[in-house]
Amino acid sequence: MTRPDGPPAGGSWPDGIAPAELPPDLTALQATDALLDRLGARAATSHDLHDPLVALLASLADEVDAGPAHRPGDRAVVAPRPEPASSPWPADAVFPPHVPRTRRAGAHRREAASRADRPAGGWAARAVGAGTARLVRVGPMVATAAAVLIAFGIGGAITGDPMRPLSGVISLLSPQDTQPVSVASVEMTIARARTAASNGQVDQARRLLHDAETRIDAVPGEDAKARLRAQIAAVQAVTGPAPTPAAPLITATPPPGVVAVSPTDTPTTDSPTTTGSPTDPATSTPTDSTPPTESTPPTDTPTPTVTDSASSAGDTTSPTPGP
Amino acid sequence: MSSMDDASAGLYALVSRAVAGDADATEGLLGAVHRMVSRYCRARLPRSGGTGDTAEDVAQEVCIAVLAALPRYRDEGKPFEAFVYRVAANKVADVRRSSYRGPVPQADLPDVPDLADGPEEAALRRSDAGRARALLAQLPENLRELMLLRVAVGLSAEETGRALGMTPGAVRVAQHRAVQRLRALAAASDEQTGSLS
Repeated sequence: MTRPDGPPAGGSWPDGIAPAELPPDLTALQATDALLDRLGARAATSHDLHDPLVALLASLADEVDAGPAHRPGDRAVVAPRPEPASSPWPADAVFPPHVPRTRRAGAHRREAASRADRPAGGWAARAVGAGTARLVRVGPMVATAAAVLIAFGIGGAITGDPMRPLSGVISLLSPQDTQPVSVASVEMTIARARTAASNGQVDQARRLLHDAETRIDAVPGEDAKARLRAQIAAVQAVTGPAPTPAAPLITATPPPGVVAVSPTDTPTTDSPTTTGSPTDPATSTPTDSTPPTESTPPTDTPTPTVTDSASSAGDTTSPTPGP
Repeated sequence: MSSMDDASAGLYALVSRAVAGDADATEGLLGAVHRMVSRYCRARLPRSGGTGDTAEDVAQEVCIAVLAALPRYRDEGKPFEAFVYRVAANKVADVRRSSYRGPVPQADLPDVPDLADGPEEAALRRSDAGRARALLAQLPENLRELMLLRVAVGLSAEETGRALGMTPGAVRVAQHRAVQRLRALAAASDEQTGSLS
């Protein structure tokens, strides 16, 4: 099969370089556009990756998506890739580009290579040969794990809560549960809601406002919380109050002898306010390094870097047009 | 197209409010700018040794530069994205120039498990990505920027046109020719490698 952007069938370009002055075929243009769209969306097919050039470009995209290098104490690298939930763009916007990735392009090639390298007898046959030596190494670890479990079981029996002895370990291993939500991320969600409301998309605006409300408790600082709630109230004046779907379930059938929880109390004790924070891009991004909005206010940072940046920015107010 | 127009209108609304001094809009705009340039900087600045966060640092510097230039920004009918990507391109060029003179930092030993790819996977990926960068480096600057925005950053043809000041049709023609050139360059490189070995 001849590639739409390749050389003519049965031959190659005369001097090894494609003649740029040749008028391109419309079908070839569309095929190249669709191919680059798939590469940009990290959705290249296995057929695409058979092309060596496409595989190289997919590797570049793969490395770009791999994110910053891992540093000790930098949890954002280890955490899963955040969803752009707090983008100021509409929910169905194409820009900034983000397509839900189920797998990276490089994974296709690595899995294919792994299948090609599989031994004739399968991995199981190789594992049987190494089984005896592995048992010798694994034995002490199993004994240690059993001892730890017994110790935790005794601790749970004493305290009455089987998970209590593990609470310290859990809090040590998952400190992201207490990671605060940045003010900027909530404000951007409110800004999106404001934009949606001004465009007449009331349902989307209410959903965004509800999202902002659920995360507002994790925002550090009472002043910031009050300011964000005032912003939400201002937008709610246009859209009406955000829906609270969980509230009727709690107040509908209170069991006898149990005090009913009022609907207004439930959002403040809702756990998703903290569980959602690790997937927030605006939360994890500022914690990677210096947050620009909090450490560099626009009025009092005439540092050399800013001056240099301003000069380079000033040169670029009239960017050079393309070809 | 309509959602993209909405996105563009939302960005311009943020820009105008930020220029007017609205602190909330400035924060929102900085978040948008960071997302715009983060992938671009990672594509332009390959990782090496312990300097893996250079791209993130440059992305932050771009945010600061845009923030510093914001009070002087005037809407002259050109897309704001073009302004941002031009600042980013200048910052990346500054870093690349200074990297030729700077010291070579060494990686610190990590205190926590590294859950990233292993050495073999990372080497393979960087090898392919490095070859892709080498091929892209042989393209003219405008075609290289276009391909990076389309492939590495993931912009559509329309968004790339806004960032580079081109029409979407011109972007599609230019990207087609860029891919043709890359194929020819890759073939020439393979032939050269084969003749040496």
